[in-house]
Amino acid sequence: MVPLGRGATTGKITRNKKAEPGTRQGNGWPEPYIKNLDLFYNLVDLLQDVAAKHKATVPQVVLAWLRDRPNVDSVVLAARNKEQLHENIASYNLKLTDEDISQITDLTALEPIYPLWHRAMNSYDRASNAEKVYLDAYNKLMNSKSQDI
Amino acid sequence: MDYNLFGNSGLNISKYALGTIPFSGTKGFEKVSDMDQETANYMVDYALDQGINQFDTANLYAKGDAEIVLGKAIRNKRHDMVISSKTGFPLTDNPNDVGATRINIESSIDATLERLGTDYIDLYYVHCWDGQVPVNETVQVMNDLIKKGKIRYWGVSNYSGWALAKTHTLAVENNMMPPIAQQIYYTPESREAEYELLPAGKELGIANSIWSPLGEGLLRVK
Repeated sequence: MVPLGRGATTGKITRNKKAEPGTRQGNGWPEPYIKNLDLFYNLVDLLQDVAAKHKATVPQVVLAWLRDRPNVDSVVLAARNKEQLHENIASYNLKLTDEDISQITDLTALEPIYPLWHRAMNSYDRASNAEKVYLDAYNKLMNSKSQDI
Repeated sequence: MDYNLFGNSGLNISKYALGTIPFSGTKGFEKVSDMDQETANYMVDYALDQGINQFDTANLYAKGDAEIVLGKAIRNKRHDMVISSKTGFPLTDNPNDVGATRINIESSIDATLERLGTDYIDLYYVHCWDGQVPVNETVQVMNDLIKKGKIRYWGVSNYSGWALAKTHTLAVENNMMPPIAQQIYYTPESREAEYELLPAGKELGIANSIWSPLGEGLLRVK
């Protein structure tokens, strides 16, 4: 196993820095659709903080968060060079703390679109087991927001 | 590396898989990479050495060239590799060279096997939902490919929740093999797969495999 953080990253997309040529995003690849650019930049800031704390890289933090999300069975990694390959696979040794995980999960919490807000609010007990974890998160988000009108 | 049975199947796969979008980097995929065969061989060797047994490709990637590069990288390791590929996106102007139809799937699998230089693949995905063809046709042809020994299992990718459930239900209600996996997009920046796809996959016995976990390079941030 390669130590965490050895791999040189090349992307460097942040609020203050555009994607660089020689990377997929910097080369004008059209995907993905970014729904909320502010949230994306805030997420990058948070991921950089978590990565620094673990002496890891942002991609490694993303992969460590993703592989332990509920109902994720497999994660397909790709790399354009050996360094990225080593970096990606070494993320398997990165163990995030519960706090790291909840910070990332809370920042990127999904809005409960209908019928999910209604089901989370009114018929949680009758949900399928695999979806309860998501309904919990919707209830948490709804309870955290003021509904005074 | 941890291993688990993939969905409701006997296929044992590693949690991490190696994707091959960057293999070759030709035919419209120059923006993704510029990779030579030697590097691709190294990646397959290194992944296997790290316990990764799953290798994913598609006829779309570099319009077949990624399959050729992966095929050359197999060398004598075929038995240790679980190989998946996909079809569905158009690669030519022929109106029958697209979608989840019998004619496209039957011709695509033969071309994929030839490019990979292997007699079978372990898992064959429909790359995107085709609402223009009866689901029954897709389910039938995938089951035929299993009977012919060209594929071991089949899956779907980028389907909506209802399309996934419709496909699965139609297969099992007709005593045919349903998809065992779906390959879907899921990152911390883009979590919509939680709305329907992730819980649906779990409830149906369809494994959830995540493509582009770094958001197509978006989250490859320093």
